[in-house]
Formats: sequence, C-alpha cells, structure tokens
Amino acid sequence: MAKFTSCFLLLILLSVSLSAQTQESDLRIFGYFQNSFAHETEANTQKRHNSFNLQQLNLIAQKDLAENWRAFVNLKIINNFSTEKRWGAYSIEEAWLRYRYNNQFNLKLGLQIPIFNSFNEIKDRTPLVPYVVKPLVYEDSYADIIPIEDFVPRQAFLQVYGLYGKNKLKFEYAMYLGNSSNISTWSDENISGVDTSDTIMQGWRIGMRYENLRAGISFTNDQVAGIKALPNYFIEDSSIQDRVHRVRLGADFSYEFANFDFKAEYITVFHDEKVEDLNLNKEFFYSTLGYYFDEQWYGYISYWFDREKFLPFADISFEVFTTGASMRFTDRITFKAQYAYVKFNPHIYDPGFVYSTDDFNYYGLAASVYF
Amino acid sequence: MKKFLLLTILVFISGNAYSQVAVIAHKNVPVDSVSKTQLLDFYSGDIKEWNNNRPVIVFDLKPRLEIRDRFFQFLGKSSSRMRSIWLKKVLAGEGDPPKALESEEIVLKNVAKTPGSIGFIDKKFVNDSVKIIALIE
Repeated sequence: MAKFTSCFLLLILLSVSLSAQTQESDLRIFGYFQNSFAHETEANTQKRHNSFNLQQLNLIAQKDLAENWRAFVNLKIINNFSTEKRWGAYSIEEAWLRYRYNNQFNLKLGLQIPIFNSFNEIKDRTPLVPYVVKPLVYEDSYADIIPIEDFVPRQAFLQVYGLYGKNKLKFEYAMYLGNSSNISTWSDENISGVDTSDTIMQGWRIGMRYENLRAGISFTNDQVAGIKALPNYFIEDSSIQDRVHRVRLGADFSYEFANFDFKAEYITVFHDEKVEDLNLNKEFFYSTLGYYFDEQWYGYISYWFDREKFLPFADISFEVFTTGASMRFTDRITFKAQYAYVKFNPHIYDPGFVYSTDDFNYYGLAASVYF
Repeated sequence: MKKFLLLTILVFISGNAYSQVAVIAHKNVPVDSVSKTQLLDFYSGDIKEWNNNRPVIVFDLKPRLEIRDRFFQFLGKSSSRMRSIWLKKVLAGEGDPPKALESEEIVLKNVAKTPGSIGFIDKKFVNDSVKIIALIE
C-alpha cells in the first residue's frame, strides 16, 4: 500500500503545472442553514421530547486565485452551537485549493470531503436534500449516538478526480488520501489532530453514468486505534494504541425516470480483529423513492437499515421507515416535513445481559435557507 | 376541400405559435453542431471545456420565459431539477451557474462578444454575429 501512496503522490506532482496566471475573481461569501422542530415519542431509553434546533449552519468563502485555481473554505456549526452553554459543535469542514486541468483531471489539496458513494458529497448541503433528518450515517447532528465516521470517511487531504466521456456513457473516478478517523483528541499526550493509527487512509470511487442512471463503488483502507479486540469481547477507549485494520466498501445507485427519482446506497465496514468469535463489522443501507409533483413540491418514501455492535454482548440493528415532503417556497427557501418510525432489533449474546429499547416515532419540520 | 383548408390553417397557426429555438454560439467555438447530450453536459456543468480545452461559457435566460421552458424540456430536465444540479455544484465549490440574462436580445449580444460562449434564443432573433449549432423544433 506504501507503493500505491508513493505512486499517487508522484502522479500528482508530475501532472500539475504550477504556471498559474493572474486572473483573480472577487471573494464570494455565501452559505446556508437549517432550523428544525422535532417531536419524538417516548421510549424506554428516552423521554418524549419536543425541540427546536438550529441543526446546521454553513458559511462558505470562495475565490478563484488564478485561471484553474480555486480556494474554498466551509465552516460548519451544528446543534444550537454555543460555547457558553457547551452546546453543539463548530468545525472547519473544508479548506482546500483546487487545480482544474480539465474535466478528466482535478486536484484538490487540503481539508475536504472525500468522494465516497453518492450522498457523502451532498450530505451537508441542506438546501439540496429533502430530509429533515438525513440517512443516519450522514447525519452529523446524531454523531453522539451513531459513530458515523466508522461508516463514511469524513475528511481527506489530497484527492484527484474527474469525468471521462462526452457521450451518453461517462465514467467517474476519484482517489484520495487522508487520516484514519480516530485522530487524537487528547492533547496532553499527543498533538491534537494527529492520526494515532500511524497510517494513511487510502480511498477511491469509480462510477459510471448513462443518461439518468448513475452507479458506483467506493473503497477505503485504513487502520483504527482505540479498539481492543478480545475473544467475544471488545473494549473501546481512546487510549488504546492497538491497531485494527478496517476496510469500508460502498455501492451507490441512482436513477431518474419521468417525475420519479430513485436512490440507494449500501455500506459495509470490515474489521480484521484477529480474534475468533468477535465480529465488529457494520452495515448500512438506504433507499429513497421520490416524486416531483411540480416545480415546487417533492415527496418521498425511504427505508434505512443500520447494523453494528453497540455493546460487547450485543449486535443491534435498527430500521427506519420514513416519508416526507419538501416545498421550494422560493429559489432560496425550502420547507420540509418528515415522519419516521424507528424500529430496534437487538441481538443479545449474553443471556445474563438485559437490554431492551422501544421503537419510537419521529416528526420533524424544517426550513432550509440558502443565502 | 374544406378539410384541406382547415389543415392548412392549423399548420400555419401551429408553425407560427412554435417557432424554432436556436442554440447559438460565438463564431470561434470549435464545433458547428452539438448533440442533445452535449448541450445537457454544458448546461449541467458536467463538461466545461470545448475540444480545444478552452472554457465553455453558458448563458441562460431568466425564469418564466416560455422559450426557456422549451429548451429545458428538450434537454429532459425541468427547471427545478436544473436548479438542483447547479446548486449542488455551487455549494460544493465545483461550478458557477450560467448567467441568466433578461432577454433574448441580450443573450444574442453576449454570445456574439464572448469567445467560447453559447446561449439559446428564438430563431427569429438570430443574425450573422453568431452561429447556430443546434435547432430545436
């Protein structure tokens, strides 16, 4: 894999001409935000609640520095961010410099969202997605509950990508390098933000398009620390330095026909635990069938499935049956409504361990604004 | 005879009601015709360069002009879907939407003076300052 990384870097250095011409554009500042109201019914693990939320706010700065060179910075704030009240989170999602040679070859340097499956690219662009709550491995506001970074790579630092073909059939590719997901957060012993797995994450996606059909497969390879695998048992702790090899595989498919569109994605995460009777692998699937009623109204039904090992003694899978609608009020304002039924399926291996949770209903309303 | 007369009138009326949409280009673009797929590639921002690697500059018309609806119908995309395609590119930093101009006369003037550009207007407005690279019935 070291050879792959070296070849990748060499290819990039050879390909980029640094003869930038001075054609600066004006600095563009824009962004978007989504406010929501959610009602969740009572379950044994949670109380019924009603809650307003600034789910997400993104502020973007963009500037063309020269012909073919673009700088892009994307700041993200989630969940009523307040340092005073210790709410939410603020992060720099993207800060990259892009060199565009042509459709076939683009190079991005710097912090960026890697191309993995299809939804990862737009998961944060709330004006584009019809959901109040997105398919769960893409929903940052639930990151405390679901280890979303285990399923999809959230950051890369070097990526080449492009599109081949000028007829109906086109091929897409992307290759990238980044850190593993368990970057150190304990600054007293390590430098914050350093990849504690001592490895580089490699990933790629290859895909094809034929008119309104798009499909692709994605892959990442890295090692994660913070997990100690024992026979039929595991411990998760950020101080654990053991390495577990991890491979993510994804497949995505979308198709538009008449006023319908259909999207589906599958992600499976393999861990090489090197111990028997322990399986830390994870799976996620979602599919959505949508219908454009007219230029303003869009409705959908969607199904999500997630299976992972939440506890040493238990696999838990859950299914979400959801439906919703969005209404484009103006070019910049979209209203959304969503209902979801969340169904848990725990599988307990230790008969002495009692775990149960109730299914619950979710109702959400949101307003998404692009400014 | 009456039927023939009626048919002639209908053909005449329909011919006038739906004049052709001309896809026009600056005279320096390196092609003389484009396919529907290529037009969709240009207007969706998937392809941003001509064969000679020079940029494709795309002009749009303001919404609610009938000719615009006909053009996007021909491409097989509604206005809202085209808007979504462009918004995706804008929010990802991957592209800028086509400049939407007020009228067909302004599109003609801009295409004539902007190398590498294309636009669409009613054929009746076309003059020899630009070249036609596609006609939509």
